Amino acid sequence: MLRTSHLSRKGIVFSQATFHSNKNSHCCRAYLQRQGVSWEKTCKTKMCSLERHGKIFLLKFMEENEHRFTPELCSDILSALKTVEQSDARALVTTNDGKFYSNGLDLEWMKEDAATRFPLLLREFERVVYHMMKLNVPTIAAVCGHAAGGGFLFAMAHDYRYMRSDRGFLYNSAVDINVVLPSGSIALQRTKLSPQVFRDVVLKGIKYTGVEGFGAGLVDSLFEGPTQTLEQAMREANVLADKPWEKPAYQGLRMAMYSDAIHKLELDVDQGLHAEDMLKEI
Amino acid sequence: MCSLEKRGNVYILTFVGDGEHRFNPTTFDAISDALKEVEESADAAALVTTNAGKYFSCGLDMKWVGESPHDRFDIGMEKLENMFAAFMKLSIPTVAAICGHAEASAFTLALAHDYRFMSTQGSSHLYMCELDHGFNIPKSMLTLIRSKLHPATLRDVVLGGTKLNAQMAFQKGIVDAAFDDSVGTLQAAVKEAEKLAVRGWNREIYRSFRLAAFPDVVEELDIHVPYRMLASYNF
Repeated sequence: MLRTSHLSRKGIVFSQATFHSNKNSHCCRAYLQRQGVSWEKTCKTKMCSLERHGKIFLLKFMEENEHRFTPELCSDILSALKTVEQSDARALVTTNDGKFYSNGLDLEWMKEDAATRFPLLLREFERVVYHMMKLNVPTIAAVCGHAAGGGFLFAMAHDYRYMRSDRGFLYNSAVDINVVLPSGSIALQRTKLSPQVFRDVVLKGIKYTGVEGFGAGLVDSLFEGPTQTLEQAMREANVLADKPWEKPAYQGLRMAMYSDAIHKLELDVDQGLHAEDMLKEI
Repeated sequence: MCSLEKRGNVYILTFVGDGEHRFNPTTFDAISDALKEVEESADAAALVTTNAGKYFSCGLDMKWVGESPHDRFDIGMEKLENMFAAFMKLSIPTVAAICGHAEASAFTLALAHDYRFMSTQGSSHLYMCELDHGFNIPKSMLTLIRSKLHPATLRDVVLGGTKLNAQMAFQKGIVDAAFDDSVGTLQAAVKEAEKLAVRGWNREIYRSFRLAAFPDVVEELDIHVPYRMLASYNF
C-alpha cells in the first residue's frame, strides 16, 4: 500500500471505491508527475470505477479528463459490465466526473498507426456497445458533460439518458472527421432516433445542447447541474430496480426490440472491421 | 364474438358484448372469416375495427392456453401472428376505434391498423403487459410494434410497461386522435374511413405500399418461429 498520508495532507482524498491497486491509483500518478516521470509509461490508471449502491451499480468515468475510449478503457468497461450482469443488482447508472462524459475514441493514439489501430479500437468500442445493449438490467446514462463521438454512441446505448441542462454537448462527430461509422453504430442510431433526428445526427453532425437534445428526443430528462442529474438518475434507477421484472425477460425484450442493431454490432465484433471501409481520406 | 357491418363502402368490425374479447380459436376464426369477407367484397374501401363494452381486448385467452400450455402457447402465438399478418395484408385502409382497454396482443393488433382513434371514456388504457408478467414478446410481434412507434415511445411501452391513457397515447404519437367518449370515437373513425374511401385508391397498390413501408413485418410474421414462453432468449 503506497504511503498516502503526505498527499492527504495536501487535500487529495481517496475512497475505497476508487482505489484499485498500487499501480492503478491516481495518487501514484500525481506522485510520479511531481517527480517529473511520465505516468503513462509506468502505470495504467483505471479510468472508470464501479460502485455498488444497494440494488444498483454506478459506473463512473473518473477525474477531470476527456474519458476517451482506449483499448484499456474498453476492457475495463467490459469487465465492469460482466460484474453487473453476474450480480444480483437490478439497474446500472453511468456518469462522469469533470467536464466530459466522454469525448469519444482516442484519436491521437489511433493516428499513430491508423490502418491497424482504427479498426482495432472501433471493434473494441463496438464490443462495449454490444454488451451494453445486451445487459440484463435497465441502464440510465447520467450525462454530466460533453458526450461526443463514441461518448455519444455509448450514451445512446443506454435505455434512458438524463442530462444537465446548463452545460455539455451531444455530438456525433463522425461526419466532421471523415469517418464512416460501421453498420452496427449506424443501426444503433437509426433504431433509437426518429428519422429526422437520425439524419441530423449522422449526416449533419449537429451539436445538441441538453435542452436541444431533450427537444430532439435524445435526452429523456433535464436537470440543473451534475449533482441533481446524478441524484435523479440514481433515484429512477432505484424505482426501476424495485419493479418485479425478471432480468431474463428484460434482457430478451431489449434484444428483440433492437435486434437489427444488436445483430449488426455482433457481426462487426465477430468479423472485425477494415480501415479502408471507414477512413476514406487515407 | 364479432359482428361485421357495412355502411356504404366502409366495413365496421365490432368485438361484441361486455366481456374482455380475448383471442382464442373461436374468435380467431370469426375475425379471420370477417376479414376474408371484407377482402373479397368488390366495393370495400376502408375498414374500422372497434369494440362494445369496457374492453377493446385483453389479448390472448390465457384460460384457454392454461388448459394445455405445452402446445397452446405455440398455437396461440401462430394464430396471433396470422391475425396480424392478415390485417397488414388487407388491401384497404384500416382504422382502429379503441373504445376500451387494449392490452398485450390487442395493443399490437391496434398498432397493426393504419390509423388509431381512442376514447378517454372509462380511463381506457393501452398496456403492453408482457414484461410485468415475465413473458416474451416474439420477435415478429416486436418488429410490428417497432415499425409503428417512435423509438423513445417503443422503449417506454415495451421496456417500461407503461399504461397509457388516450391523452398520453396521443401525445406520444401512438394514436392519431383522442375523443371524450366511445360514441364520438367510433363516429370520428367512420368519418375518417369514409374520407379515405373517397380517395378511390387502387387496392393492390395500397397493400403493396403498406407492406413496403413497414418492411420485414409480414415476412417475420409468416415465418412462425417457435415461441419461447419462458423469459430467457438464446440468440
